[in-house]
Amino acid sequence: MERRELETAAARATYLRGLTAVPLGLLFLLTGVGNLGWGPATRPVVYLAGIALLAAAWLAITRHYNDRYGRVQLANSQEVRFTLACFACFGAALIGGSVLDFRLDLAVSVFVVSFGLAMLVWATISVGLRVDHLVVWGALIVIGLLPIWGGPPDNTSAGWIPIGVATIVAGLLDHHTLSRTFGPVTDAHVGS
Amino acid sequence: MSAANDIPDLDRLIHEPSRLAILTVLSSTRNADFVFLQRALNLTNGNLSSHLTKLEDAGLVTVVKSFNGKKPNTSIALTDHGRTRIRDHWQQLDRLKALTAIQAQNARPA
Repeated sequence: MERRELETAAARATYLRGLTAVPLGLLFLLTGVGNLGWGPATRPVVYLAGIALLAAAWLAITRHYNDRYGRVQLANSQEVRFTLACFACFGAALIGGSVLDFRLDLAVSVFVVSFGLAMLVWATISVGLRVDHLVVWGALIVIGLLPIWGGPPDNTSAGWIPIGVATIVAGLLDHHTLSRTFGPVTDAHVGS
Repeated sequence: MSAANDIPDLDRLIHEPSRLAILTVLSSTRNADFVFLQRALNLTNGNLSSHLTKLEDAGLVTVVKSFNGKKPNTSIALTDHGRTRIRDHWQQLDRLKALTAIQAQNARPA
């Protein structure tokens, strides 16, 4: 293995735990559906129960990864760098995107486009940009650029739905990359 | 100074490929557990244990055994000494690489 590959192994093992993105993507979908007033997700109690359920699923998935792929804590300098990058990307995308949507009142969704761009930047910083990132987040950007959005607040509310789907698909692909990179799980690896 | 004197000394304990890989992976972490190192480096239980024992004896890593609930867990971290040694070792390798490139260039017929 190359030096660079070894030095980034911990970061890749941390940020390629893609199944953790599935509950997050479902939360985005739930938010989008609730915002649009569809089905029972509009009721606060259903939404809160959904959050609790997804948080429990996220914890169970994290535990599974810890057992099967091991625990690793990144060096402080790396953790600070990744945390700042994460806040910068998603802060800019979520706040900047929705503010621009309300100010510009366009038929495209700046919110969705900026989220897709933020994810591309984040993927580059955290695990290295791959073709599947370009396909998934590129598709999200294209969807955001289609002139099908009804203007604010629809651009942001409905925008959560394609964002949720893209998050789930990207998560599943990241998990596939993780198992390919770190090998399939065998009993010999568990519980040492 | 002769070219032979310019060749950097390599730390044999660290230069063994598996141990170099273990220390390099650990250099970007605060700590990592046994399972993670096994998965990241594709080493067997026995092989990894034996390398960790050598690195621990040399004071380059600390190994802490504990329990997460009922499951045993072995956590490994680089010591400050280990961090310095692995950094110095990579610097030596970089120097060696540069030296080899210069020698190859000089050996080429004009």
